[in-house]
Amino acid sequence: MMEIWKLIWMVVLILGFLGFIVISSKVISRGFAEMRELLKNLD
Amino acid sequence: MNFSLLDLLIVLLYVAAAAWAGMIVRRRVTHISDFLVAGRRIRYNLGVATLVATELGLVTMMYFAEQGFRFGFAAFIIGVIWASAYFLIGKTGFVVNRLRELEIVTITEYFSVRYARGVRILGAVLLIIAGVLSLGVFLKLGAVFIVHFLGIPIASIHITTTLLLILVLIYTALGGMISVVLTDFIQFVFLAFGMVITTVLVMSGDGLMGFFDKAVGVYESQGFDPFNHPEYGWWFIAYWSVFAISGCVLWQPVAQRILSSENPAINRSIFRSTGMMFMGRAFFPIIWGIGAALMYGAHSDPSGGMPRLLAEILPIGILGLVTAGMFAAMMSTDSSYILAWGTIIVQDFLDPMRKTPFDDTARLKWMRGSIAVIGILMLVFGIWYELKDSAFRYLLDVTTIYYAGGLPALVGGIYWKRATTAGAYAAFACGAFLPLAFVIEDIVLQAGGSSEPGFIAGMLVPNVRGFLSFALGFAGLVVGSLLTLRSGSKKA
Repeated sequence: MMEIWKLIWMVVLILGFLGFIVISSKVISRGFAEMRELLKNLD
Repeated sequence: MNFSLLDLLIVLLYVAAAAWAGMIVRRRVTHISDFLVAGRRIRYNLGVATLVATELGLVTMMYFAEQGFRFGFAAFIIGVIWASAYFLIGKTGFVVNRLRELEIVTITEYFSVRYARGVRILGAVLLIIAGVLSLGVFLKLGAVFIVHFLGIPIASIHITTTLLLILVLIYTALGGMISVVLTDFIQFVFLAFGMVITTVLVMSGDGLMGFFDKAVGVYESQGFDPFNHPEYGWWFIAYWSVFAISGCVLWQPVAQRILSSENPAINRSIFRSTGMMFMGRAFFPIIWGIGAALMYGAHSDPSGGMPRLLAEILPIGILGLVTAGMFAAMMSTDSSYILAWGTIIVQDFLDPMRKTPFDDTARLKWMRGSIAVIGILMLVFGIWYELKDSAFRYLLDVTTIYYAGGLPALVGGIYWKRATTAGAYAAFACGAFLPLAFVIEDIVLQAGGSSEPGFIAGMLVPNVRGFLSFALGFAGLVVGSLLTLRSGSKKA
């Protein structure tokens, strides 16, 4: 049973790791434009 | 500890950037909606950044690392359930769609729209209690991290954390939600880099397989199976599942972002992506905690292990980046939480108690005053209160005070036409009873100098107590509503 759990957590960890990298890269690269727009709308 | 001039420069650069971003909006914030919900102009990328930065505090990393250190990979279940809750809500729009459409500023405001002003005030009081009690441990855990990570003497810690808190209070009080969103974004950049690099470095010595194999030696099979772990098990999974849903829809710092987004569709996208990010939010610090247990032994200090490990393994430059990331985590969460509770105090407690509502100028003034008071409470409580159990458990207990009645009142209000005002009062009263009694008893015992568990703690184990609180909350709503159906029903 432990081997199954080990495998499950390894897969979930890799998915979580990749998901984190992909989404944070996207958010960082596009977020600056949204930040500028938010400030522009305030003026 | 290799803290160099380069590391110091990186940290100072970050603090200066965050302070600058927080201050530049001061003169541009002229309307109360800018201050409270950023004029409802938040789009997807800023929305994800601010939600992740808010919910990923230094306190979060500390309590997840502590869970990983003590209980091994079984603690991953916390992240899986939390991420699933966000994903589910993002997919279905459960509760959040309706809330965003209502154009309200706080979730507790919904209780006066659907039920009565008194329900809003009761909900606000419970939320303020839960919020301020939870804020109490933020500075404490932040200080533990800084002591072990930077090796600063304990006397200087209070000065460092107080200075950071004052900086946060200033930019939050001046720029409100816009300041918080902008600083959150800068903090998100530092956090994301810092967390990924740290995780790779913690595991790089043994590799993925080697790391898991070494963990088997320390935790044995129990450390992998959450269903058969004495700390978790079925009761925890049931309790944590309803808790996680409540966290998505009821927790004011999260809700403030739901209500700040441009429209409900953006909300749902933010929730779906944040769900995936929240896997990392839990997994990374848990891995660091496990790494610390493998390095120093499972019987060493579970709170201090993670910062001690990071201080030893991180090279020059990365150390500064991670320190900036940790300061970022601390400041972003503190600022969002302080703003959130300040908003609740003014919008849902002080204002509804008055005969004539505040005008915008008075509202802003009271908001800034509340923010200052919360900062002082944070400092006093953070220095005085001692945790008996893990920080994670403490936060679960204090937050359940509000969630256990808030969830049935909110969900029932939206989806059950028969829910009445009396039912909502009963939900809050029944749901808050057990966790509030436990927390009050704990504080009274500590004030009397006792470190023994009290009557409530001895009567019910934490997971059963937590789940039972939600069950009582739902029972209160149903029974209270059915008994008073004719007099108190409003359209759902």
